[in-house]
Amino acid sequence: MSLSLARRAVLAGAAAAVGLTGSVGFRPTPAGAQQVRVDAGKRLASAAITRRVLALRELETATKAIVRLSDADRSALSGQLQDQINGLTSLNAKIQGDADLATLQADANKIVTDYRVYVLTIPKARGVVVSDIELTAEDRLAKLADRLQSTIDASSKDTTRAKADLASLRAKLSAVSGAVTPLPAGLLALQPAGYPGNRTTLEQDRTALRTGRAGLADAAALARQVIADLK
Amino acid sequence: MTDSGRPGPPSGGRTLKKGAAVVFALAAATLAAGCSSGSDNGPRASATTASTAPASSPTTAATASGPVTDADVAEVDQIIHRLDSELDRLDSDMATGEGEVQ
Repeated sequence: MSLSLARRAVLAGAAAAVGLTGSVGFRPTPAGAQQVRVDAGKRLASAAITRRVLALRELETATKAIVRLSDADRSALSGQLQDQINGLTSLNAKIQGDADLATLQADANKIVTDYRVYVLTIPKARGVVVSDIELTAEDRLAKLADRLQSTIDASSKDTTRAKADLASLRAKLSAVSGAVTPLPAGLLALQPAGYPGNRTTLEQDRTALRTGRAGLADAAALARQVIADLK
Repeated sequence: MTDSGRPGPPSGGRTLKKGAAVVFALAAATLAAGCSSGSDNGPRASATTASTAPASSPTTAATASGPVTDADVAEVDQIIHRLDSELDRLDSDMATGEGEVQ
């Protein structure tokens, strides 16, 4: 409500300026023109913030599906997303109360520089979610490997081939776990103030996650191979 | 209707309150069970988290025993399939810029 009053005050000031200069009609006075730009800027900034908040909320929902990461990592991610939502919401309120173009432009710049939602926060949160999925898959395959080992141990057949394939499977899983386990903590440490320098970390982590995915697919194929070896 | 324009409680409001209390108690018990199962070193996929996971989230491989079958591996394939979707989204995220805000 106070914002609305402030906005009315600005409009009233602009109207008074028009009255004093005697300018009317289709050619806005400098004050009137500035007000038009201020209003347009506020609308643009509000839309930019709304888009970001919706994207952050979508990711907040995705974090609820995290099952393998620690509670600390999960709550850290959720907290960072919520902090950005709160910060952007407050910034929008400030922007809607801005009375002059210079202040508005400075605040609008903060939407990008203080948050880096699209270029940092969303990719890093997605990276954490992907890490969780990879570690979940690794977990499942490790359990299957244990069961395959039990079958090998109990078998009276020649299991030389099965043992070799199972060793390869475990090596793949070990590589995935070793590469992916440290990623969430590193991603969560990335902050908007460190951008664009920390973009390199994002790129490296994406590559590591792609490599991890390939390792998991190889491990699944090896699990099938061990099953075939034991038939 | 209440003063605020929202529908008010029907004449059997006490019955509703009792029903709500039972539902609340059941929900609290379910939540407590989910929390306790996640406090040990077992799998983190508690009943609480499973409800927010995708419907395709496998649940049997972690608890199954006996010879491994192709069906067990197929459950991992489902996770990898979900992984592929998220990796594609990550690629898309990384290609996105901040855009104009003023």
